[in-house]
Amino acid sequence: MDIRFTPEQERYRAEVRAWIEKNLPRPANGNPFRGPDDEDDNARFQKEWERKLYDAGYSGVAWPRAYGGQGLTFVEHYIVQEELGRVAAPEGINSIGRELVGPIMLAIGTEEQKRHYIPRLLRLDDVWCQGFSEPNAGSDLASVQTHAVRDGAHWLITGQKVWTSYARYSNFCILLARTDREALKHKGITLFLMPMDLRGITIKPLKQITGRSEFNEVFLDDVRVADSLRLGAVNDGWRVANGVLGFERATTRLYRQARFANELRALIALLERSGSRRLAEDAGFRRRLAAVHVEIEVLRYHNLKVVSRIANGATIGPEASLQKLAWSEAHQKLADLAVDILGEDFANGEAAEPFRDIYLQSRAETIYAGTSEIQRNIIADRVLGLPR
Amino acid sequence: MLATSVRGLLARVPKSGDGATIGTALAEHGVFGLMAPDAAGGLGLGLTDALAVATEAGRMQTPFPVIETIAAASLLSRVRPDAVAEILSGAAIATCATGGEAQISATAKGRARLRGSLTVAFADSARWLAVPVRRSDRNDPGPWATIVDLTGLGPSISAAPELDLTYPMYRVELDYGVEAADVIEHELQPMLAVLAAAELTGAAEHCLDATVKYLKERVQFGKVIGSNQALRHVVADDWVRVQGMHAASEYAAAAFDAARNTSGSRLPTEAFRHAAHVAKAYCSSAAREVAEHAIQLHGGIGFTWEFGLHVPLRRILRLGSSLGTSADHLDTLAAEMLRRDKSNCGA
Repeated sequence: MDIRFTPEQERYRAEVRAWIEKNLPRPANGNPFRGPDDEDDNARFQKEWERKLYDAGYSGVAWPRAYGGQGLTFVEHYIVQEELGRVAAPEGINSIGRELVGPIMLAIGTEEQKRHYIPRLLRLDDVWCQGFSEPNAGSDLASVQTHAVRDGAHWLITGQKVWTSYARYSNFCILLARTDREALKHKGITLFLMPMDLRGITIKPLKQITGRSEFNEVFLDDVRVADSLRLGAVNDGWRVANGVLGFERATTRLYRQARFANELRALIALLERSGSRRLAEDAGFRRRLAAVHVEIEVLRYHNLKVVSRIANGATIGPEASLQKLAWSEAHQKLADLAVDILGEDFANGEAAEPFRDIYLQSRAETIYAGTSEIQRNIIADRVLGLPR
Repeated sequence: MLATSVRGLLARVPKSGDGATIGTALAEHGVFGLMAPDAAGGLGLGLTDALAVATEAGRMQTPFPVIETIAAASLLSRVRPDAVAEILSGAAIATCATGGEAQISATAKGRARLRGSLTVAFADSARWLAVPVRRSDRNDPGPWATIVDLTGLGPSISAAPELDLTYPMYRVELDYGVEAADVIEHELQPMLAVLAAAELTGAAEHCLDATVKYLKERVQFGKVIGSNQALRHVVADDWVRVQGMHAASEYAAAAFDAARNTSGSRLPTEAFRHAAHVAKAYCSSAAREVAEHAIQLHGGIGFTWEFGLHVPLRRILRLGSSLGTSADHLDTLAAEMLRRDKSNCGA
């Protein structure tokens, strides 16, 4: 395992750290970063922050310069992610653009699409949302019902999408729609780049258990999308989406490891400030604290393995499911510890607000991007070769 | 490639063979000199390479103190370089204390007293015993270690109750004079903890492989039981555990090697010790879960002596309880975290 960075990479890290220090407003109380409470203000703040990152050269770090990237390696990308995570920097509003659309586009987009869309998403000219899940296509994503029918040089798209984060603030949607109803369910799906201002699109916010409304339902009623906005071949959408999703599951949450470590430090600091004696007096709590720390460390070791594999040109296979399971479950253990150790303060203390948020948010993390149960099925099928 | 050839070698070594036969076979492959310097006839490799051997010894449940000999040889090469050859050739066995405590106190000039009550694998057949020690004569926390010649000194050695049938353990009472110069700064304890973490990884992976194989063969209710989601999910989680164990022990070994490479003869850093605590804490409990699931998922046959799952389970229990239990390492890590938090106040 390669665990060391070169002096050049360490210098790069120092630059990134110094830049973040200067440019990210940090909460004075040492708590993890938290954006404005108002949805619109928060969206604006996140967008400005992402734009700032791009201007400083810390977005699209490993993407080709020809498409607005920095043309550096995956190691520099990882360094930026780790430094952002270390201070629990905001994750931004255009993660679907950066983490899903960009990589898919780089893998299978036409030259024209790459030159047009990738710089725009990096500059935040376009904010993307993801139209994959549907009321009857959650874990069983391949059974999407939203359908697209040819109409000359256009497609008419009708159906319903759900759990669409930031749909109200997005101007494009990467959409999975059925284009062949006769074919086997995996084989009749196509990917579209759908502008969100087209006639026939209705967005309804969904309130989550956190109290915020990042999620939306998106209703499509004969939305007319030009064929030039198709990504990849007709009926090839599932294969494309799946291939890229695997890579993304393994790599896009790299920064979360460092963020969780930040949250654990913040929890200790909060207990100190509030004069809690729980850690000092209870060996059981101290062990749980250390056990969470151990899981977060192991997550970092997995990250380093993935980074050195990618830096050495290897492909990502089942590591994707491993990473997804490991980070989402480690975060829930951190959240559970916060509930138990903060005691009454967890429910009623002003200062415990970030941990109420972390706890509630962490319930979603073992569900989205493939539930823990789906990840276990993938491991059982593809790694262990067990029969279904 | 080292792992593959060691795996082949260990598979051929008879499990019931006596220590001498196994020792000679391993010695012929240069296994014991992995971490001893070239000058002492060793291979001068790092902990990462030793890790590959330890993982295989765990997988095969090799009945020989492989990790103890590798670690002791690295210590011996600094204290008694002339004695390394007999270890590397397999003529003598070197072992390590993996439990109990030993203290060094100063006596006359240049001399010191070593007192300890230790748990030692294969003490009856070993000549050399490497011991992590505390020093009451110095403030420097070290870590310190020394190595003693068990021949002719008559320390009291008695057999300990036998849990791990592949690994005879002994209680060793030490109380005698040593040369003060023979007590050196050495990362013996964390090094052994990382090698034990690797053995735990190999033993757990062995259990997982056996379970997956069984789930594909065993038919009940007219279908192979491996198609039941309840069972598939248990082994998927165990696979995740085994990957975590690999990552934790590999990282700790890499931290040791990195510290050694960049700083010449300087001792490995705090980062290595921290990683060793993480690896031993994680692997001790994860390995046990994997082994327990193996027995559960094998059903009745898994509970039989004949089928043999108790062999890796016993090995895992023994390794988990020596060189600091999971709880011990977690306690150390927690203390570190709380200390660091105090010193960083307001940062």
